[in-house]
Amino acid sequence: MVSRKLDRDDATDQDVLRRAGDASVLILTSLAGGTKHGYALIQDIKGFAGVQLGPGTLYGALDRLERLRLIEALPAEERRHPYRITAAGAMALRAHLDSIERVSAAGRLRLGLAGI
Amino acid sequence: MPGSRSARLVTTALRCYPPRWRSRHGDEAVELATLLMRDGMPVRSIACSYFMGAARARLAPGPRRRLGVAAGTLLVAAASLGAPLALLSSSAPASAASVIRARITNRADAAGQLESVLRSRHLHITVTQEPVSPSLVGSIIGPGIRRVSSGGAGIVGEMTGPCAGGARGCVDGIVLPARFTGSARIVVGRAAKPGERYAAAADIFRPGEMLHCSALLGESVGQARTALQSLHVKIAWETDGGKPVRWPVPVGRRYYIAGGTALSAGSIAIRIAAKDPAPISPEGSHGRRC
Repeated sequence: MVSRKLDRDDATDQDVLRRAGDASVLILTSLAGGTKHGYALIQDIKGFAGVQLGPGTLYGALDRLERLRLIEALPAEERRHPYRITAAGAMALRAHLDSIERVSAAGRLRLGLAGI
Repeated sequence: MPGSRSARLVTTALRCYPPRWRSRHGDEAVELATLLMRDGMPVRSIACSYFMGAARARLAPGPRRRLGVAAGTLLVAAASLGAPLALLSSSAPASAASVIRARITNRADAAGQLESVLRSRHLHITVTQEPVSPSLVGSIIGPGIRRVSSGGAGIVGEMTGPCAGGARGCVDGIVLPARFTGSARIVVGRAAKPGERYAAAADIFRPGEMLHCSALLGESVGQARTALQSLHVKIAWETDGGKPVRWPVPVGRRYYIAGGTALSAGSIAIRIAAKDPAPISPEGSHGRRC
């Protein structure tokens, strides 16, 4: 039982995106597919998630992710800063997706959606 | 940027950001607003998003500025442009003063307690009660707030705490913006009367529920059947996918009890699966012997 709890705590520690907000996860997911600037991020996220990020939300999340060193800004092209995901960002995204999958599996099990 | 009024609205919103932010993102933010307007995004939405972003940028830890001054500046700027203050307040970080917390501390009078708090705040939120399985008695039944009318935008969230019986994760409180002006309904679980069907039920193996500590979770159907029959309740057998299982239920060692739900005090639904679900049971050992 104790080792099980420790495992769960370890997983939570690795999931630095747990409290980062949905926008951060969407941005990291988008950047996992390649470098993008703000407008391209909004378009891409709308395409794969159906979510229209507001520009204020976008910049807030970008700043937060950059502070956490999960993304980095590349030299500006004209006025646009492209961003790319860092190795730490890719690891954080992976840990978060693993965490979501665990919750999803438990939810599906409880809803009786898991096949026998 | 199309239209001088649109430009002024966005520019004013961007002016609310800290200087450091403006020097970094300012030009790009203007260009982004132009592109989004071209795509059909309303200028008010763009400006609001920037206002809220500016509020977060100023209220976030780091820049050592008095929060009250920062928030006041932003509110005045928004009001002067006719920006919807409700949206701004709903998305800004919730401070203790800007929200109302209503928490159940007495399960025996959960509805009365909530009603009392909400009435004292003059909120148009009614509290109704529905019959639930034992561990949910005295908790708010999800979704926490239903039938929210206009003016209800900005619900901050729910608080969770222990359920009746000791399991974790029951909703026992709500957090509302102090400016909440809509109407809504909250449903609180109450003990069911004899024969009454539950409106909501928790996992039957969870603490406080009928089969907690029964040691039946993970048992073969054959072994569990006798014990379940001794409970003198009506049993609906179903697959782990929710399909009804026709009698005779397969009693071979391949099939195990995978979970269950109480439908009322006198009827339960038991799920069976082709493998032992114990290692992945979210309730851990609760269905085992205590």
